[in-house]
Amino acid sequence: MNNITEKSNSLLNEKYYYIKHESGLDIYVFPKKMASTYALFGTKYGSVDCRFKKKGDADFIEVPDGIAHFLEHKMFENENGEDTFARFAKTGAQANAYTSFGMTAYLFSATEKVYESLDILLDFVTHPYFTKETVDKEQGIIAQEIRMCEDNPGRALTFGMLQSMYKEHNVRIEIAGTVDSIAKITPELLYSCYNTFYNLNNMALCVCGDVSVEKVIESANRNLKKAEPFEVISEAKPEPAEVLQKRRSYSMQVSMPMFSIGVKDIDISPDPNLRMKKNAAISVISDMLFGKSSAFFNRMYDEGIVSGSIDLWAEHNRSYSFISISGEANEPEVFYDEFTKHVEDTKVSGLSKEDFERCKRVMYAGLVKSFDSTEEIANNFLGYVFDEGDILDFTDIMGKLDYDYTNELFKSMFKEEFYTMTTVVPVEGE
Amino acid sequence: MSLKRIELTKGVYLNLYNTDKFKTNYLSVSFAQELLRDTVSYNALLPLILTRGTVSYPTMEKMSIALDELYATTINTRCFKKGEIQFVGFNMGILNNAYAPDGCDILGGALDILNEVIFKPCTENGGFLEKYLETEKKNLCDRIASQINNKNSYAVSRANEEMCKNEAYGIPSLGYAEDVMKADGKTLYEHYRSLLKTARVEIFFVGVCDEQTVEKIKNALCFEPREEKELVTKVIRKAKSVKEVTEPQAVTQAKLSLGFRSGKVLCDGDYYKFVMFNDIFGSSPTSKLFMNVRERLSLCYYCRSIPEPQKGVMIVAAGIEAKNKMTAQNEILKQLQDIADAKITDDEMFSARSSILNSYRELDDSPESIESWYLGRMLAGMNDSPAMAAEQIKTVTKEDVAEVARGITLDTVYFMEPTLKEEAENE
Repeated sequence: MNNITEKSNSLLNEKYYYIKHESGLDIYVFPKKMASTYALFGTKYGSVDCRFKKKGDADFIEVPDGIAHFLEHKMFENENGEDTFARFAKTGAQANAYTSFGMTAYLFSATEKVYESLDILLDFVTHPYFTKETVDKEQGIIAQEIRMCEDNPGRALTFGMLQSMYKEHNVRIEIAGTVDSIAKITPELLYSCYNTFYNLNNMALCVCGDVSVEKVIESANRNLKKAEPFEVISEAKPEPAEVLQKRRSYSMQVSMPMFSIGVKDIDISPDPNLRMKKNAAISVISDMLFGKSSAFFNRMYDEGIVSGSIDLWAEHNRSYSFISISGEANEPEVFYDEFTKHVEDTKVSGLSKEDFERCKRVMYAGLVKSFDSTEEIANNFLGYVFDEGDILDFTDIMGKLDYDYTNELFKSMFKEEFYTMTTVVPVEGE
Repeated sequence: MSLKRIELTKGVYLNLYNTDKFKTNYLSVSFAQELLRDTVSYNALLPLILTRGTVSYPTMEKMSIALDELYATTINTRCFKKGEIQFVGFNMGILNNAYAPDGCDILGGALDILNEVIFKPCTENGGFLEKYLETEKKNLCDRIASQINNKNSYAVSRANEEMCKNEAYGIPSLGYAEDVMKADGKTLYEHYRSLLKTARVEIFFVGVCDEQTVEKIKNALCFEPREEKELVTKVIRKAKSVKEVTEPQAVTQAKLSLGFRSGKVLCDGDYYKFVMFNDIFGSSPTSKLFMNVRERLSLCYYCRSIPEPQKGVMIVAAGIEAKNKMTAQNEILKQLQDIADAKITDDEMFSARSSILNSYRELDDSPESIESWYLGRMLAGMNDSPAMAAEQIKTVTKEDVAEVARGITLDTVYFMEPTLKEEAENE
């Protein structure tokens, strides 16, 4: 039957229950005394899964870019014509969904009628209904979502960086696709993707709030049927270590130039705990080198080389790994030169041990703070689960992170051939 | 749960929200003043220059390191308006002492820093440091200019600005670049000293409010008494005529912002009727705007109504294809008219009520939302909790909602016209 295991972390004063449900679904219940319960039902299927096959099939199927996101929109329609948002509205729950590179997730937050809302969530995600008419109708809506993104300089920076970093990896493809690519989407293709990836063995549910484990299981029992074994291979082409392109630039209506420096990394361990360790180390390294308390940032700020702040984004998961350093600067190339010089100087001097300890403390505090919101807990949690990690192990991994490993990692990751810079500059004539 | 409001001294208030559910304490200090063209820009500069350095932490780097050592205590500068009142100040996220394995008094340390930021900034010759001020002036100007980067929010604030061009509400809360550039260390410091003595002070603390904690806060934030000033927002209930503003921009998507006079403000006492109206009209995925402009006509990805409860204005914002401007505008107005004609279903009433009650209960999970709720109430001379407001929501009838809709008038149509060709045409 459904075994319940408990896992806790005394430092964080948090715990969760894990249930391997008989349907195949992994269920995580995270008790929190909050007014609002947040439930997240996700599939390990995102925009990067564009070519895939079932085990035993000879050929890969190729689907249009943006189909995972399109599918997410279309899941909200039901065969009886009732809109899913309207169903949730009756319980007062707020529903939503999102698609990322590696996952599609459906969610609600509710302060009452939680199990009714959970029934709706489990029901609608397991009941696809697509017709030509509803697919056509969605093209217009998503086309406007794509246009909105096209006018967003932040998005241009991110995808410019990913597209200049990666030659083969599908993380370079826009999550929503393009107006052209989504025009090729049909109900048949949607069903094909749905039936491949929306398999309970490839999915997870996280419910965080003031809830009962038993009642969550009862809802799963009511709504979920045992799934077929999941045997799908998503194509992953080998990716070169070097970046594809050193520079990329877009001209948009912005007030001053924006830049994003990407540091590409293809050294990804198959061991999830080693990935978590490296993830922690990468965050600490970026914070030490470029964070708000770094001497480097403060000099860039005082000298007016950057305006405002430097944003840091470190990613390290089973599929891709990079660090992004972005901000606004009148002359991005001047910043780039300062960046490379700073890195080379630090390689010689070595990372500061004092900074290392401080940045570890910052990371620990950030983790503790992330447990103040049921939304943040569920989203972080599922992100780790899909990467086979466990967020409650993170304090331990972080605590053990040692200076020598971190310093060596820094030296091997930060090399000129792994850097690329994307800029967004103001349109001329402004 | 409700708020405990203490008058520390005349014009200075400490608002305590006692809860043990967060691992992070929330603390904020805001100076509230009338939004005025003459002072808005100097006010906006203050939080920036004050966090640049203090007597004990004379550089930003030293201050950042000290904050990091206090388990990543954060101090954010804030500058915003509610109605025609400008708020400037800081908020802090302070980890509970219980989560410091080394027994560090995080709250005590954070309060020391905040005390220095407010009362002991770095000065020279009776003014702020010119060197710091130059950087912060430039940064603020960059921030003012960079509002154009986010097209969605830019189109909303432009509509507000155009609609309220001749009212205080039309003043942007970050001020004007030309006035920012006029500031020098001495005049800005004098301005600050006067604000410190005269502005209404609102302190919020969300966390465990035991006696010791409250004492610590009181000791760290010791202000002089000041004259009580009324913080008033002038309201225009009805639009006279419709103003049209078109602004070309190098974008692919057009933005349509319809600016309305909503006819109702929070201090009217029956604003909860408007809250119901707004949910039915355009603030949820079951609203009339979402269901019709987006779902039925596929005109947009987003179309929502954004009300301002103090000023009594509302913007309906959508991102559309330029050629669909009139179709979208007519549909938005038609949906408003439908509500005015009481074409509201029982389901719509029920959904709106459930969704509002849910959002009121959810407020308790977010310190910022709690603060924002009570700051708004304070300006309106009210003190009802979300739970009390929920009881009023339950009494609203369809006719109440229709009546609200009949009092709403279109004032300004702002249109951001794309000058870029769409990359691919849909066939």
